[in-house]
Amino acid sequence: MQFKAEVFQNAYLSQGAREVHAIMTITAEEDGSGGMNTGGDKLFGIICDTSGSMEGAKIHAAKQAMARIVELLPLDAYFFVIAGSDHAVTVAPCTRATIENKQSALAAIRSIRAGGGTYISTWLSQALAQFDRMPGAIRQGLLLTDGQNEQVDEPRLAAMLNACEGHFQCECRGVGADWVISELQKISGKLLGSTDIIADAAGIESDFQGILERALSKDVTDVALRLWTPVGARVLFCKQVSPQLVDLTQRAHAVKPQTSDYPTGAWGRSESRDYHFAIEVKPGGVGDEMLAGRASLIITQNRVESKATEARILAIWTDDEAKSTRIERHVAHYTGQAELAESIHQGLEARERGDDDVATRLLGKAVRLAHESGNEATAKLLRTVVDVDNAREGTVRLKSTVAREDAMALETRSTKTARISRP
Amino acid sequence: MQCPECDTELPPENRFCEECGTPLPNTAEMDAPEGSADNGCPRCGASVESIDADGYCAECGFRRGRASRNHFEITISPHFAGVCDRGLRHSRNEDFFCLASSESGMSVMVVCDGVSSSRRAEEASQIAAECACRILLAGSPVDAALIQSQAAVLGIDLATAGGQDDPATTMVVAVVEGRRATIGWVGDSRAYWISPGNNLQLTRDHSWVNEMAPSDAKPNSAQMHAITRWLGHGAPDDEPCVLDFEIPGPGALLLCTDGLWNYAPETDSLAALVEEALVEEARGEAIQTARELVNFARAQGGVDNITAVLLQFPATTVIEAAAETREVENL
Repeated sequence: MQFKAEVFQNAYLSQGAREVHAIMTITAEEDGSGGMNTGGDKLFGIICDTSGSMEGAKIHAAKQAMARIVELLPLDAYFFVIAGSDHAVTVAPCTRATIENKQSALAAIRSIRAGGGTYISTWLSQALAQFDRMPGAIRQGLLLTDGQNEQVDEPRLAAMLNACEGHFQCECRGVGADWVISELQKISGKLLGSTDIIADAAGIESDFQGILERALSKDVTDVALRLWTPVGARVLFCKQVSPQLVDLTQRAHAVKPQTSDYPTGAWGRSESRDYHFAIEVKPGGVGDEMLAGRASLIITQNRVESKATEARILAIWTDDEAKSTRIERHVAHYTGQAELAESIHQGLEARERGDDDVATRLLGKAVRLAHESGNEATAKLLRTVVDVDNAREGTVRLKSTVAREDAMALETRSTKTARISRP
Repeated sequence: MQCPECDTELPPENRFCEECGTPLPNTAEMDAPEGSADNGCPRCGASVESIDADGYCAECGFRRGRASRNHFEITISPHFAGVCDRGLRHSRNEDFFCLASSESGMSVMVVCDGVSSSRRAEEASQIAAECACRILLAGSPVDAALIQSQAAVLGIDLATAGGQDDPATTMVVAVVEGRRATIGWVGDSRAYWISPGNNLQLTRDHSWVNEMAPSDAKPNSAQMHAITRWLGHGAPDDEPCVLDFEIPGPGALLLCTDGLWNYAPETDSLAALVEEALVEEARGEAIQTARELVNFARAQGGVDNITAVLLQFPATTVIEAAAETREVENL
């Protein structure tokens, strides 16, 4: 596998300007050469809420979905299953997905019963112990819950997330509408996954399968985006902007002065992601040219770092306004996508607190931005919350009744961005 | 700046000490060729190890030498000087020029305009000009200098070569000994003889408009400016264009890039500018005239990089040169 990086930016700045924006597209390509050590062990961990509230259709569907995943696992993969309530029960410990091991796991899954509270810190603690058995593997977790974490567990959960960071990645799914988006996003954010809603328990199985497929497609793990910036510069933000918005700014890990690593997790063949950097630099004079940043992809295997690809972010000061005022189209597109997600987030918040004017204005703006950027998926989700009179102008009316699940789906999925269209 | 002889503190633009009259090192020497003196980063003082292959500093990020490459001046004598300027619209200065005079009194002037559609055009123009100047100063004929410069441009180390956008540059050179000037050129950088009542464009552009355009071509079509010959990859393998020109009397030899002549396409309008500058500047120094010409092009819009180089033949020098020539003939 081979990585390629490309930078899109308008390097020209007007005199005195300090802010440099650039979009970096990183693509993992199968090149046949092997290049780096790929195809290592894959460990898939399922962490399933079995608290009392799961009783009934939900636990039934979750058990079926888990059984299906175990059946689908390739024989050379590894897996474990944890059932979580007041504490964590290891239903199936970390093991290879042989036919016998699968059969004993399936029997154990069948015997799961719902009951007890929700103490997610204990579930993650147990998962961490399982993942740490195979530190060299591609380590993907999947956490399913239907309710809120117990208040008393909050500080322990926060500490546990810090302990888990970098040890495994985790996708979070909330089933039904009684869970809290921000809570699961805290977990998925720290563990480089996404949070999504499964409104109807019947959808658990297909959702789980999708997560397993993506996990199995990964070839290298523990990939970091390393950003060098000149002395005196400040990173205003570093965000993944495609396929989904993930703000990595606070995730910077200083390697040495001027150089920080941002985690990007595991990568699979023919995967492509875009990152948006905003760097504040010392301004130069007209005609000056500066290397405002050097971004590289660093892969750590067996504690050995290797650089997979590198790209440069430049700044050139000019007195030609025609050059400096032009916004590069990739930067414009993803700035718009971030604004779209933010409008939805704030619009839904306003709607929640009954501020219909603000909600109408912000969700209308979101409809317009989704329309302009061709983000069909988000446009469709928006139509579950508002009636659209004119998408181009963003004139909308709030729907009088909106299913809680629909608002939650819009909120969680609004971070999915549209890829920039070819010019 | 301090006078090296009497230590008097002087404004940096002075060329002679106000106290003792000692000639001062000209500023062009200080901010001219980049990378020739490896002293690290001029911005933050980082050591030379911090400078990467493309000239970026690993500490402050600034690219070395950009500022001075944007505008530089060289004064060889009050009659012989040149100015090279980025202009207003281009982010880089891809023009370059070299001036030199030998102990035997030979004057060498080289002006290059890096083709802006090519990669590293600023490098092509600099390498070509420096190569030609060095060879001419060593006594090589003009055609040999053009051929050698072509080889120097091809020698620019590229990761991938052979493309449409490989480094390329124009060149016009003049070698003057006594009253005899030899002019050589490739592309559309020009040499003029400017003298009241006798203004001549000495070179003929290797351009689409001259060599290929139908007679009814629209004067503003984009192709008008396309050059048909250049130095660099894929250059047509034609004989170098070289001509001899006898300095007819008092006047000035002007070498310039299209960044200047585009704003004064008629020889007489360009000549008028030179004469105007001469009148305005009481002393009529070449550097002042060159600055006036560059400022004129900037005032007109400065769309391209601008280079103007002048070798003036005031009435007295021409008479001296003529006398010298006669002496040589008499021997």
